Amino acid sequence: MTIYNVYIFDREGQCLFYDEWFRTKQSGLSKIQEYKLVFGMMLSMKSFSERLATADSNQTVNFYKTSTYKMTFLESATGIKILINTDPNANGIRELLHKIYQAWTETANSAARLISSETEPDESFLKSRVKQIVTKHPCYV
Amino acid sequence: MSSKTKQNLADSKKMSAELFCLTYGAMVTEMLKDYEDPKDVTIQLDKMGFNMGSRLADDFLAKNANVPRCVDTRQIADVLCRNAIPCYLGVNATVTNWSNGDRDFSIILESNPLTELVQVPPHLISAGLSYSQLIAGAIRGALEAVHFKVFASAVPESSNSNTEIRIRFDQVLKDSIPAGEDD
Amino acid sequence: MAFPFDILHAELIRTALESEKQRSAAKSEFHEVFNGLNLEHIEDGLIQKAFLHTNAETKLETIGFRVGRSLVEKVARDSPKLVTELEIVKFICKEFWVSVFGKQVDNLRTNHQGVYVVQDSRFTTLRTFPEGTQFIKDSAYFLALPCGLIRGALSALNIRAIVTPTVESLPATKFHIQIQQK
Repeated sequence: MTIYNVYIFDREGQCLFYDEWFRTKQSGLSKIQEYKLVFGMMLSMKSFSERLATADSNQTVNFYKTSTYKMTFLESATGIKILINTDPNANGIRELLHKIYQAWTETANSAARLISSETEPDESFLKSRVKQIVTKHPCYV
Repeated sequence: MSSKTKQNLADSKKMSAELFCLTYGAMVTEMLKDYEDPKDVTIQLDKMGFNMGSRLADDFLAKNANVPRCVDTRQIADVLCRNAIPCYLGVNATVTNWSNGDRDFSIILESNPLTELVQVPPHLISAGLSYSQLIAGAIRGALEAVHFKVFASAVPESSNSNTEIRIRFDQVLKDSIPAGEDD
Repeated sequence: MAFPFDILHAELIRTALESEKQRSAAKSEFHEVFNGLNLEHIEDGLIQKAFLHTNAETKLETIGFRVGRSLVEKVARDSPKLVTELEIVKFICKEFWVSVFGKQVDNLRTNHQGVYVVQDSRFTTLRTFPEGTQFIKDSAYFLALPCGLIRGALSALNIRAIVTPTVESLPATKFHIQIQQK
């Protein structure tokens, strides 16, 4: 089992955070380009699946899966989107995403961020928190 | 847990409420010195509440994974009264006075922690100071973060009655799509 | 249940900083207008006096002072009478600290001549800062109100003191309490 990489986007589609662990092959795109495509794909999947929905109810896209990996989505009601790539058979990923969301919230609400919106979010802090959470997950390694 | 630690725990909860409310009171007092018109203080309190609410929204969602996603005002009111207000203000709240086809409603706080330790002079209230506007602003900020635009105001408190927050639903906000992408 | 004190505190700091900025902008604008008038006979310090404004930290400290005075009454209600200066400072570092800041201090030292150094290795309003030295400057704003709380609490117990913080590496903080002789 493996956890490959994670993306966090804000509601405008800005990539707030990215990290990877066992990603051995890169997409060959620039990072910015890759973020844009990942976000765009997610939006498209959302609107596409809404259009095709068989009943008029509130639905969410949860993940997509290929023979070699699975990309799981989490979108908070505030519009924060977290996407993670794992082994196709990994489970408990939804809980993992929620934990990452918690870590993100704590960092976003940390004192350093609260008074100056200009200050870059302290990446290293969030990075170590996310790493802690991911490496503890049974699907890591 | 020994009864002593339990006692301390209860005490510290009470203290955090007191620290919060006294700080709020001292802050309002300072603001009344800074602004000539108490109405401007109300506007400022609303703004501060809004900022706090938009931060609390993520905090709340991260802590409460089981809260369902709201689709209408009845559900919003329910989550506010049942989860959010007890969580951050430590009081129970009820929803009432539905009108305008479920677009308007009132939230009644069983008691108001903000006013528990302070006495707001009546002449300031009549001059336009709405002491609890912070709460209304926070509700507005939190709901806007989850894409519901509302207007919220604290109904001027008459002594000895419950605090009422009047809320009017405006519209559901859509996320802006990055340039170059189609929906 | 938890009152979002941290978020209120941050919002308070933000507003105080904003109004400090506005005031210094208004002040320099006034300076320009005033200099244009060329009123040489007016005393130099007059403008400063007329516009004497408190900066953000002073404002936060003032709020803290007022809150500290009331809070200590509630904490000290059930405690035995405090007589000596040392007893009072110890009370602040134990009961008061636990009730208000949620934990005990890690170390208290004194030179027995009215100077006390209180050490808290993880001070509550700084606990969400990333560790290290990067944010030391910003952290000062987060210590102004707590210093006021401590000074206010001491003042309600009849001790006049000056309280100043030092931070070498976040989130550890040292508070210097210097007792003013009556």
